[in-house]
Amino acid sequence: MLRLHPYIYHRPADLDAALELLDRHAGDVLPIAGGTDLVPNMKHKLFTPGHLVALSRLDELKGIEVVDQRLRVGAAESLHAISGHPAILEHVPALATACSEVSSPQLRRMGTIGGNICLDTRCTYYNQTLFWRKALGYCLKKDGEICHVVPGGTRCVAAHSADTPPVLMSLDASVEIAGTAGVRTLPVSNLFTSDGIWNRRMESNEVLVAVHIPLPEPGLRMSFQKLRPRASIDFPLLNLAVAARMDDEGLVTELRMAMSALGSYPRRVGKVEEAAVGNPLTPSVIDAVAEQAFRQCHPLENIIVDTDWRRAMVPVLVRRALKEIAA
Amino acid sequence: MSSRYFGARIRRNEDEALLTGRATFVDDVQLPGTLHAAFVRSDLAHGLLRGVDAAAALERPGVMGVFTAADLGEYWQPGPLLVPPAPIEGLTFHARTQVPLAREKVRHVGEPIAVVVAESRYVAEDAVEDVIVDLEPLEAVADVRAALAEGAPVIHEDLGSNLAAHAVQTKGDYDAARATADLVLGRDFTYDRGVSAAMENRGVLAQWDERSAQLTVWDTTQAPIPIRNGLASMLGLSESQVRVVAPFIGGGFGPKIMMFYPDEVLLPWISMRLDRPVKWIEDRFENFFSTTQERGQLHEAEIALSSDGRILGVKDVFVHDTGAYDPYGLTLPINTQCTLLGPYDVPNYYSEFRVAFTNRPIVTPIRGAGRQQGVFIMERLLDLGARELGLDRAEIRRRNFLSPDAFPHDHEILFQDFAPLVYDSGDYEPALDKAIELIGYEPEGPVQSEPGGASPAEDGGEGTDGEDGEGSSRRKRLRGTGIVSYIEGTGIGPYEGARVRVEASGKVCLVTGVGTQGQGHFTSFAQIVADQLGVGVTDVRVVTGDTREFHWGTGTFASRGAVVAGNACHAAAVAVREKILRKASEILEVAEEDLMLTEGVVRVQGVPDLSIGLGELALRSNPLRGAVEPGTEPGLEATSYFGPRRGATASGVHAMVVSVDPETAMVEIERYVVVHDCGTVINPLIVEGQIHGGVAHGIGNAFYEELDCDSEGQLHNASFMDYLLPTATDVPPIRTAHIETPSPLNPLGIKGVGEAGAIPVAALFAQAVEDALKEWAPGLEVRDIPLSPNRLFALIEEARAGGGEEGA
Repeated sequence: MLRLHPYIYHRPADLDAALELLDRHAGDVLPIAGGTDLVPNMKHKLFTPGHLVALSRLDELKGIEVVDQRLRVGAAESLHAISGHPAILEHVPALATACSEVSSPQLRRMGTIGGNICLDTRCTYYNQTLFWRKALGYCLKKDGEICHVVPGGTRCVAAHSADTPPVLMSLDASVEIAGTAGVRTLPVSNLFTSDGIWNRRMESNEVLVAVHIPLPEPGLRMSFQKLRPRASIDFPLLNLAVAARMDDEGLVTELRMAMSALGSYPRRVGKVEEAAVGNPLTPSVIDAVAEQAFRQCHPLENIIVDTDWRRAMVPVLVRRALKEIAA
Repeated sequence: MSSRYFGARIRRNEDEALLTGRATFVDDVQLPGTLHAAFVRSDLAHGLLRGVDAAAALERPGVMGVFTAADLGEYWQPGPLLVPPAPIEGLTFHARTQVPLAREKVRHVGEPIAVVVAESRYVAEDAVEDVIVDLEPLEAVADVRAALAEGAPVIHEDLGSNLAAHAVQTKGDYDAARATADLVLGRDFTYDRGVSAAMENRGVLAQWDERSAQLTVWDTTQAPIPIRNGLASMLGLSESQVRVVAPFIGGGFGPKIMMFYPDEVLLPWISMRLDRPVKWIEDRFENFFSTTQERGQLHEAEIALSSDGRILGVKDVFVHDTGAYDPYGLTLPINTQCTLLGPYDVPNYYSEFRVAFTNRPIVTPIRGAGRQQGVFIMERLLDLGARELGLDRAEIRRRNFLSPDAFPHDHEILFQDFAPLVYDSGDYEPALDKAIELIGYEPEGPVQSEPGGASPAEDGGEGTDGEDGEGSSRRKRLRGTGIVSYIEGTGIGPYEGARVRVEASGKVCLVTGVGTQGQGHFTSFAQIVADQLGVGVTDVRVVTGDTREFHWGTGTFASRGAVVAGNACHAAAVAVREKILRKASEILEVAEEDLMLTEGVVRVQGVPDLSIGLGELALRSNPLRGAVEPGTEPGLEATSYFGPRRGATASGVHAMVVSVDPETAMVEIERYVVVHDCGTVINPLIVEGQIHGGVAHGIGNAFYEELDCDSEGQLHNASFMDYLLPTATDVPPIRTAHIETPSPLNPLGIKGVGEAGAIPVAALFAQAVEDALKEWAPGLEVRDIPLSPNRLFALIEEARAGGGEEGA
């Protein structure tokens, strides 16, 4: 039976109290919101903190509203709430799509956008029971010293598997992070690093409070694409967000593309502007962009499903996203 | 007698309790003072067991005991060979059955080494981690082909190799037929293994009561009576001292008929030793190792056809993976061997199989039980043969069907029940015609989504594109249709029994020895009895799966519950009806022929005032005082048994329309049709439910479920996050139609249906996908199951590069 370890569950009244708890128990504490990822991971003994600090009822982490030409989404808003919110559907429909394609209805009601952004990376050799990992001799990410994905590898390549960060990156969103030292903001594009063990530029005693998305300028169109074996439940095998701005003549003036589930962090796909900006989204331009994306993306064997197929799907998703935008 | 319930689409008696959460499952049974067990399991697939040190575990507060093979003494015995091999000439068979706890050696990951018993499961699990196991790793062999290769590590050393069995069955002369054939087509096929994924895992609760010297065991078994008999024998108790209860069970699917699982042997013994109830509920992770699995086979098959598509002969040579032990004998490969012949006239047949031990969990039947593989091979050979001969896929089947006057048809080989493979009845063409009609199959090719031709457009702008539901981007979706046939040997013996009793309340109690795992027995058995006794279907209380209530029987498996137990219920009800009429005739002083039995009352035809209720009759049949004539029995009760001579042959045709996204290789099932023949239908609603569940099961096997096991025998996806079951979004609405060819082998004419839905789905999937891709990826052949988007993608790439035309 997979069981949880003993821990103390704290339910602070406000953000300051939460930060204080995180600070006081530093090293032996984790924040918890929906718990949809953390609880299974604790059952797998991937995390065994002595203290959990509940964030989901903190007012500071709630709300979806337009303020000063920005959309502020509280980190503890559920994926379900976001996917159906009028302001989200009106201004950033790709985010609604991404939220609605995470897991299952039950988990979308529990899971939060803050949790999705801070989702732990995943790997075939990591998301396993203690029994299994022990038999394997553990791995770089947890309790061990070797990587089973990249033989001889010294850097963890567990896959970033969240659906919302690529969309947020394509929309130039930023996150508001609170710590005992105060509040700071960071563009989502700078939030992640290539370290599969801890892939966020956040301290363990910091809390993600909100997401800020600039209201899209007129003419900005967006698309989110996700590859998964079944029509629900599954983590992405590949996901892609594209935001493109077109002028009145249908020429692309700006193109931002982000992709994930390949390596340990979501990444902007570079150089695609060169092929697109100044051009209409004709089939040949779309193919050129897709080819550029394909060259940059190399999935690793960190998920059970074959890398060949996942890589071959990169240009397919790019073409689909751009056709959707061009339509 | 007019039939009111038999054949009626009525709701299930058991659903209220199930849907409101009030049904009792094993884990719902809570006894004071219960201890909880957890297992120390091998984390290696193959190793020498040098020692077990439980000292630290025993010191943990709350731990009541840690037991290893050595502690069991004489009680340690390998499990029984459940099905001895059929008497096939020249057969080789080596029985090596599972053991309660590993001794000297472990042979698959998850094999139990020790059991810890503690005041709570938490403590027991913590203590499991305290136990130090000294295992010396041995080279493992997880692949069935590698297991039979020269120099492979030997799993049961005394055998000298991993060959568990070898058998050949033949009919006619395949080689001679081959020599006269216009087309000989050979291919290699793979069918991989999966788990049964019942919603409820296994569980056992054993309670020894010292004062009454009674052992009660609640068990998720499909076979409570054999478990009772075995436990009594092993523990040196009378069968009357052991009661096994199989309450509501959340899905059986075959693995729960396996016996004895280590937990089933150990918990009663521990309960007697500690004089406390002991419970173990399997978790999902354990289920991937400790419950049996199925379907791994490799086939080299060949079909000899005449130019007009007639089957001259089939040759099939295959290897069957039995895992670390083979308690189920040859049931699975023989089912494969027999079911391959399908509804077809195959004059010449050569079938040879080898069974191999591997360092993987034990293989025993799962819903379909070897039949899937046989159907897959035959249907694939017919598809590829039709393609080669330029024949329509439905037409090649039609030309080879056994004709309705060919029954009984003897295939001249032995079936799993040791009886000759003889089909009792069938009529296959009407089912094919009906399926063609319902799916809209056109012999020239697939149904078209839009007019405008079948050539897929490179750019997604024209051709057979469907409109993507979201947004306005257009995506290519290629449609294909599949249509396949199959038969299923069902309802085998030996026998089942039932006891019917009218109680003083006028209500009826029906008891049978089989267990129930969701099949609807509380309704279909009640329907059979209600019709005979003229009572309402909800007035029949059905008791199953409790050995205290019924002593004799085998269990629920092989699509036999309705056939075998159903007919026993019928026979008992007929006997009780006779008693009712005889008694009423005496009391009312009216000839039996003038009596009617309706609405729980015996009436005299034409005399409305003269009647007697069943309750009153029951009371008068069981007097408290007075003389009873010698030779009579009290009460309105009868017990009957039914054993068919051999199994009844059910059949069916499945058809579906898929659309394939040629770029991503994602497949969507748009429509699904099942036309099936399970003889007479007791309750169409229940039959359709069985079929829907079976199809969902089959879709999982065909496209989603795969155990990702490495060469060391380690499973990489032992959770439902990574072992993909079909969800509600992946299973389409299913349209069903019934054809009835009653079985002459039982009075009710019933054939089994529990496994039918799952059997032909992989074959159907393969054909429909090939049809959809026939122009986009010419020559693409599906030869391996499970398929998955990534595998299909590789096949598409290969075919488009020109590599798909070369066959195997």
